[in-house]
Amino acid sequence: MKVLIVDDSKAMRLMIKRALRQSGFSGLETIEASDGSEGLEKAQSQKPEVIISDWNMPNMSGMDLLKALRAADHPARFGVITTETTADVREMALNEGASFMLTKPFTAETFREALAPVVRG
Amino acid sequence: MSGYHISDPHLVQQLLTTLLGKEVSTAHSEPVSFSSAAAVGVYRDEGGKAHAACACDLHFAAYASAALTMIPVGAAQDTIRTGKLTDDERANLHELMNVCVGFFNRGDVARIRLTELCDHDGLPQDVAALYDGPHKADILAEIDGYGAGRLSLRCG
Repeated sequence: MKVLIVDDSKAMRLMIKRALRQSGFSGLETIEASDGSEGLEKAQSQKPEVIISDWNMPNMSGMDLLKALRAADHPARFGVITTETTADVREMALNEGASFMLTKPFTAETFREALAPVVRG
Repeated sequence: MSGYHISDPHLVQQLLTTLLGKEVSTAHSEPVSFSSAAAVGVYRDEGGKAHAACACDLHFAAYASAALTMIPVGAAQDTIRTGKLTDDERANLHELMNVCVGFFNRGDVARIRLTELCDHDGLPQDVAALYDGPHKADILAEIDGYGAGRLSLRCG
């Protein structure tokens, strides 16, 4: 299963990959993008089944990435990992078709709970 | 009243422990003055107004940024000796400060985010003014396996 991680922080991309391992998901191929624009390009060219994205990013936000993917009928399940905790942001993401929303910082346990419904492995 | 405030010390300790994936213990400490801080994270609202800041000394910056991505403690000790964060440590500190917005936000009351990570000699005037703001917390954070450093949180 291919997972695309989109975050402008290299540290957070590393932490998400670590959390995927620690959560017991195995056999995953991870690819990375450092902003929404690169994320869109890699989503289209590499066809991941799951996309884990930050919300606030330069060039293209997580919200704009999600909208662009839905407009293009991209089938990937999309989850947001963000510092945004307000209900309106959560509602916006879920209304646009996000499968889950996880707040930073996360533990291996909360990470596993959020991703288990969408990640096989 | 802006409605922005600092979380309980217990929540600050919990956030750092969760973020770093290592046990962090906290205690009250002497403040880190903005003029001598290794870095100051600045949190602004969507209109650009500075509401909160998080200053840290070099020890916290080096140890926490290393712990975040499991950089060996020796590298953090080298940084403390040289007095200068590496590019990777600074990038890690930026992400750490980004997540530390959780020190200030509560529920749906506030929406601010990290906009800058400043050096002490490049601090905007509106941020410097936060140092004497009404809400303060000065914290010594001991990161298991790394070491201790100080944080000063301010919001107005």
